[in-house]
Amino acid sequence: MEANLIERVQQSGEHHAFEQLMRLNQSPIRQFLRRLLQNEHAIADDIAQETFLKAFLHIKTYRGEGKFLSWLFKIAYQLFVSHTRKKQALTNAEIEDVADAINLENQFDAQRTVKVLIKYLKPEERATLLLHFSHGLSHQEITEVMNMPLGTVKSLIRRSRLKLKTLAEQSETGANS
Amino acid sequence: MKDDFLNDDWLTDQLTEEQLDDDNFSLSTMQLINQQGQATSWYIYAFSAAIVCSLGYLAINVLLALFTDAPIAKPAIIDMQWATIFEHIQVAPISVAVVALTFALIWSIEEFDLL
Repeated sequence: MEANLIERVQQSGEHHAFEQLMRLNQSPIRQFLRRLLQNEHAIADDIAQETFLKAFLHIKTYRGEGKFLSWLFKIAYQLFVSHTRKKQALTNAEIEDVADAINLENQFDAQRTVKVLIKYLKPEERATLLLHFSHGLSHQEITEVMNMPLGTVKSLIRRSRLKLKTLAEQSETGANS
Repeated sequence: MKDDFLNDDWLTDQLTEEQLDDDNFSLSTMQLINQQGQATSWYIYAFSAAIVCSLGYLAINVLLALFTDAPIAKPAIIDMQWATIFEHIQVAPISVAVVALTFALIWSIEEFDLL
């Protein structure tokens, strides 16, 4: 079904077919961006809209190699990177010291969930983790989305899991002391 | 909980979310698509490249005429005879390369959102 819709958009720029494609894929793209942008929903949805606009304008460059959703993730990730570059100040304000970060979270005990902890990962770590575990992309697919070598992707996923484990340990230690 | 981070199934469960089905999002995105229309055609880039190259050519000649003691280029701009141009036109390979690079630059600025 999806392949048929893509073909219709590629051949005649059919808006109705693209709308259906968007309905099929909007949820993972918007969730991915919301998590990447640490729940800044309005900005995430703006970037998601831009993702679909760009996808529509350049759909002829999609050659059917790999999933259409992976291609959308690639556009979304590029736009996210471009957005964070423009907002350098935001990136610089990223909290590096995990212990301090945990102390800053007054309600950290109550919110000790993965959703809170992944805030403290670097954007590329967060992206690899979300693409792999939340959206089921393989390591190979992530290399194409993020334009990174396979080894880097594997290492980022491993590193981010260990970082989450350390964060959880620190939060438990903080709670007990 | 800390050891669960190394468990694939547990982590997948934690990171999986409910579907976001929002008609407003689709509608407003389609409106945006309707406003933007189709992708820019190649001849817009070719036209832009031609403009940039022509202006560059004129600007270089004018600057040379203004800042050097050899104003040879000035008459070439002002008293140019089209017939002589077409008879003796010789495009150096470097000029073709400059035009091609300008086209590629203008195309890539939009294609990769460099601005």
